[in-house]
Amino acid sequence: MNPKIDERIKEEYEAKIEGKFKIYIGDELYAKGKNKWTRYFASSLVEFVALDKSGYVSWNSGIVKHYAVGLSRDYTARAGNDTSTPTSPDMSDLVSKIDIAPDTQNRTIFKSAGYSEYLSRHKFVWNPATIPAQTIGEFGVYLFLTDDSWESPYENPSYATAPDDVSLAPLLNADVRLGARISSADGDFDPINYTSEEALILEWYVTIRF
Amino acid sequence: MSDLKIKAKKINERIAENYTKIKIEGTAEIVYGDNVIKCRNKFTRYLMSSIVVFIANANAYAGEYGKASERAAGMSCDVTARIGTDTSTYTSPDMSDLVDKVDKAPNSITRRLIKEPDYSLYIAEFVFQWNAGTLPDIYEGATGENEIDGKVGEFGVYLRTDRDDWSSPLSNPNRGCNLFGEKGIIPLGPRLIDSSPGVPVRLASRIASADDAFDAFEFYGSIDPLTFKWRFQVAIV
Repeated sequence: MNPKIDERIKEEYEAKIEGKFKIYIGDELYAKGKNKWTRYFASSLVEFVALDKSGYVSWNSGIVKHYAVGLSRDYTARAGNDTSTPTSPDMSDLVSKIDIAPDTQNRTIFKSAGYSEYLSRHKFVWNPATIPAQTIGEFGVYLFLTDDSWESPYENPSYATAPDDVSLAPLLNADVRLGARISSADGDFDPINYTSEEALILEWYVTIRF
Repeated sequence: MSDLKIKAKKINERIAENYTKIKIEGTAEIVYGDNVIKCRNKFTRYLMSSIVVFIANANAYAGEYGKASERAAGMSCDVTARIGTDTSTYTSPDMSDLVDKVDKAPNSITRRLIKEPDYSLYIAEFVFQWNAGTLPDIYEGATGENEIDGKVGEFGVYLRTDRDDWSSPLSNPNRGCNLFGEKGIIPLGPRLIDSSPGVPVRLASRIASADDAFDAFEFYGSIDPLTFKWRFQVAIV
């Protein structure tokens, strides 16, 4: 068979997840490209698929409203100063984090009419003067992710994380961790000489295509 | 010299591409008698929708109940698989069930999490086993009781998935549901308030001879066991 046809057939059987970003300074698009993933993000996906139901988690609060937790619980983003450290999948934090939260953020999901593409967009905005003037060389998107501490192979996994007295996540030892990194050291963008005069905006897109 | 530059650029591009994509693949291994078939599945919209909802969900209100304890459920709560006899219908993303299902549950189901030491590959593996005597005899020309005229032509894996009934775009999604029956809450939707959960098991993956995934085969379930191993693979590339 023609190798190109082979490749096409193979492609039809695969789904792809890509993390893309756009960085704006004020209204101007500064850079766009693809993020790199961490192990915590990949592990969280397979844990959710493979998990049955956990044992009962008891709360003492007496509160009987129940919340099911997804990966965007307490989601956030940070900028960082590092310009020389390539991303590796076991990074759980930025190398030189500027620990200032975005002023506003939101999430939106989309799908295509033929169900061949699903997309989530997370938008983070730091207003002018929120981050002081400095060089920015990395961005991180933080999600509520497993700590990936399970030993392989792990048979019939059934566990949960209770981040508070009313909520449960179908993940192991989940907490807010680095899920995706965008880094000048990886060539994703040129370091930004940020003057603090304009807003800094990070748009992060996760596309799932099949 | 220019050749070296070109090679160097290609290497740089390859390095830059590392860890930028996640490839999701569903592979299967079907074992009956002395036969081993290796093939790949197609996913349904319900699985893909569930992944994007899970990523974007924050805290999804799943209901108010008279107890201060609860379970968390993953997509494999009540996971199951079925075989089917359709050999002509291509898989489409909006299929929620097999085309011609033989509605006999596996006798045993084992789930496994597997990963590579370098974190480049994560796998959720499922082994579905039908003992001899569980499935009917399926062969062309069959007319007897507990026999089906045809061939085994499709396999399906059923997971708890989102109903994918949300309108696009959906801002700040929080889809959650109580599965009732002591099964816990799941960050997928929709949430229903009666005892009929909005997140039942649905077809997440189909392996079909009509898609050329494998050649349909005759199977004598009265005497042979059938093993169906399905792997949901997440590769960081």
